[in-house]
Amino acid sequence: MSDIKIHVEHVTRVEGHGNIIFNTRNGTIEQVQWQVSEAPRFFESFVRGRPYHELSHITSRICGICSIGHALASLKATEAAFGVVASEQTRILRRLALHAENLQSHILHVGYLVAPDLLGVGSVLPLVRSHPDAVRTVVGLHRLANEMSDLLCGRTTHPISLVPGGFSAIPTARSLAEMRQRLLDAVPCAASIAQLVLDNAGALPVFTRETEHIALVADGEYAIYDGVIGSTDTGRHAVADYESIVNEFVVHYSTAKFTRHHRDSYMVGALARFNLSSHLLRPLARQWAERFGLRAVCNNPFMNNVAQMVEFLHSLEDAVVLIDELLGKGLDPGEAPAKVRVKAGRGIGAVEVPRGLLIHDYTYDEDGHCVRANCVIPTNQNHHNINRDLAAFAPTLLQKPEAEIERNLEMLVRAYDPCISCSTHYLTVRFVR
Amino acid sequence: MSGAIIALGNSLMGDDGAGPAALAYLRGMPLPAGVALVDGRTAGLGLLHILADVDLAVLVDAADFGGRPGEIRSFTPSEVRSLRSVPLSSHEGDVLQIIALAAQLGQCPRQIAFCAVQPARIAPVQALTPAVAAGLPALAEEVMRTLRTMLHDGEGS
Repeated sequence: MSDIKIHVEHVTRVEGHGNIIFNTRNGTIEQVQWQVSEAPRFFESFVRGRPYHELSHITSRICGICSIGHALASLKATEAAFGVVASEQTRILRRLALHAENLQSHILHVGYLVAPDLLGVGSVLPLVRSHPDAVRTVVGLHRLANEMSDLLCGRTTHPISLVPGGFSAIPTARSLAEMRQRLLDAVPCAASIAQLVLDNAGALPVFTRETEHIALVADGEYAIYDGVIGSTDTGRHAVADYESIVNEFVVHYSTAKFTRHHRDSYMVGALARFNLSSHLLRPLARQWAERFGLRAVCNNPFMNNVAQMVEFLHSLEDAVVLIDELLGKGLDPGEAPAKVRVKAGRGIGAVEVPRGLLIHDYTYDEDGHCVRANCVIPTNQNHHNINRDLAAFAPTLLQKPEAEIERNLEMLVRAYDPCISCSTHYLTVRFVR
Repeated sequence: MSGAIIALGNSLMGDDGAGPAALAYLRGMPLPAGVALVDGRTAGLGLLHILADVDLAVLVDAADFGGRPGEIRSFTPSEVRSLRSVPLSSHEGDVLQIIALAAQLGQCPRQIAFCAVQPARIAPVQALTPAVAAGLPALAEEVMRTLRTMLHDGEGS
């Protein structure tokens, strides 16, 4: 058997820079590793000393895809530190904003980045010739999601109307009613993309490795904004105890921190949310999960792509329900944000973003300036699980041609929809004298 | 006829921000009816949505065409080849690749042109180099000239 040496520098169709190393000698695997080579970002250091009202705007810049989620985790942390309670209307509008982001991010990933794997081509460009209607539908759904973000947050990326205590501008009842109709009209379009994924789901490798799944969970709703931390292994935990869940650590071959909890590694994201809360999905999303054969607890990481598609349908349906609730109660377009009275203290905010559980933890001084910040990003939490999956998946590929092995390993990383730039963090170092 | 002047570029990356910076000059100029100014910045794949809505587009951008810093050039997408090999991702995409995608989808303006300035420094800094900053009024004039030509040609077709 010939030796294999695969070094995929900068895996494509993921956000940021990560490498896969895979070496065999005499048929035995010597090394298989997922390495993050992106430069660290230092966000937690440069928010120190900044006033509270700047923090959501600064930390939303951690990510160009889940900037709404970062802004909301940040606002929740700030509000918790100062004891601010946002209104029910704010809570619903914020959940709508998170749905907009999920729609945006999931269709980008499934439609532009994963579909080429399912249909056996290298990028979305050849799909325009082979599946022009599907690509047009993906572009249209992406546009709808962007415009929903514009409506709720003031712009597509890096929200400006989300502020401590509420909203600086609230969409009109008429614009929400129009958005509701567009979301309903989008359901058949989304179903056509789900059907395309289903028709080609045979291209997803069958691979199972038991792991722990972690996501926010809540009574009565598929948790994205409120909830406690749920684990498929250990049940429910208070958000305040997050440090004992994530247990961040550093490794020499990666600029991103890694995490572990009850087992050696755990997974966050759409599949983890599905595994913990599938019974709370809206009806159409549940029907599609059935059609895909997606059942909790699913331990095939490739099914994260399918869980994203199921969540896309759920977000469309749930957003319609939320708009109905807002309009049914009578929207107050002039509602002012809840008053903020600064004081010294610590606050922790957790939300679910497209790639999984996101936590911001801030400590403020008595003037409302940040003195300490910790942000735990979903992709960080997945890195170690990706490594463990690669180690288990690689031996099943040894009989395949080298190009096929490489494609399969890349597909595994891509299934996690990693956002590598976001996950690179500062390292804690010790000087050796 | 609907048209757009679309400023592209990242203001945090030095001279790459020339397009958005040119908007300040363009805002002071009288625009033909039906033509909008669009702050496209780093729209990436979102550029598809902007292009789908117009018959005519002038993209204002920084482009390294081997000129002297601050030099202005206009060209159509078919007159150039990209030397970058950026795979299409959710964060970045080569603008020429995105235009090709829009064309294949049948969602591309009938007329499209670039008005570009040669950058001197593309690096994480929030300022233009003096040569590029000095070129902005000429870039704005070139945008208006290109737009007038396209509108004239459009009438004839």
